[in-house]
Amino acid sequence: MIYPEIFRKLEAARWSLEKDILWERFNKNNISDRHLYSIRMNAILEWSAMPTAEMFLRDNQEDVDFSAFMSIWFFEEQKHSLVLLEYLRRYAPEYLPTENELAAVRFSFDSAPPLESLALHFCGEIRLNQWYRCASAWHMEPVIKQIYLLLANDEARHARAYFQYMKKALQKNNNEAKLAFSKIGVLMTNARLNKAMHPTNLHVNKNLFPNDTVNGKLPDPVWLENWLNHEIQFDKTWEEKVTTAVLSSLSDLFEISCKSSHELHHFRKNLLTNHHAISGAA
Amino acid sequence: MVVDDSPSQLANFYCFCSEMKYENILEKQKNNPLTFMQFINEYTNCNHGCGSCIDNLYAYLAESNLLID
Repeated sequence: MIYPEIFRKLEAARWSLEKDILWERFNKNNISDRHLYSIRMNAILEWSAMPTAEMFLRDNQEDVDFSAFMSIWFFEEQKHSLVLLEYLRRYAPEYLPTENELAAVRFSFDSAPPLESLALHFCGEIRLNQWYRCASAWHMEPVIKQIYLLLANDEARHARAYFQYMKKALQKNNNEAKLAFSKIGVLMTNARLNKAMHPTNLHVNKNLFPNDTVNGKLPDPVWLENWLNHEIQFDKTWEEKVTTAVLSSLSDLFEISCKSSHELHHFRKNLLTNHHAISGAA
Repeated sequence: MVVDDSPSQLANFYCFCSEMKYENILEKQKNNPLTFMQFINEYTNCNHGCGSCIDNLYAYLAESNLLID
């Protein structure tokens, strides 16, 4: 069981919304309407931790260790939304989302293979870590710059925790886990294969298709792409940081050296060939 | 089940904040040894990052006989 140790580490690193945010340093001259609009959208996006936590708990009924970790993850992700809402409440209440806008991103996700969801969220946390670092650099207002760095660090810790659970899954269920993790790794490091690259862009409920992505439930569904490409300018250099982190971690996990999405794809192909050979022989 | 994060397993661990594998961070310490506090400040981004790696790096340096307290 790794939940107690993760709990201890995350509790030791936890920041206080009241005491650790330097609210008194707010400078209204350094924030624009576009900045505030993006804070509003990210506050709604972070609220989507709710259906994700519901999905994880539903799909991991047999795994009490991981389910217990969900209690921390859900708490901290909701806190991300809350700190952004608190920023708006203090300095730009006209940008606060309504309760209905928050409720819109809570909808039921279809059941998904737990190992794939685990890897997907590991990659998602790595990506969020870099998005928020990039957002912190883009903002000029000191309080929101600090908030985004705190969120980025939380996301990195979450990625580390998800990675621990991936290691555990690998020890328990080697082949199945390798196939699931490499599948998601290829998808999440290859923009040509998959433009989604983050869980909030994925279709998650076939009965609601095509209105079944978290981003599609935002008041402004095209906002995220615009924010990334034209505002914070999450460019190739940032993208490489995500890819390197995912590939390096998977290399460590699989005990291989894998420097590109293509190499990971090749590794997975070999895994599948061996898997089919063993299945055929049995 | 216990996940093995013993120092000898950590060479290929990737620090998300320093954007480097532990073995590459260790290489810097080999080339120019610093006290642990200086090591964290100079060779990693752990102080401004998430902090998850600090305990691991301490153990990894100790096992590699490169820890200067």
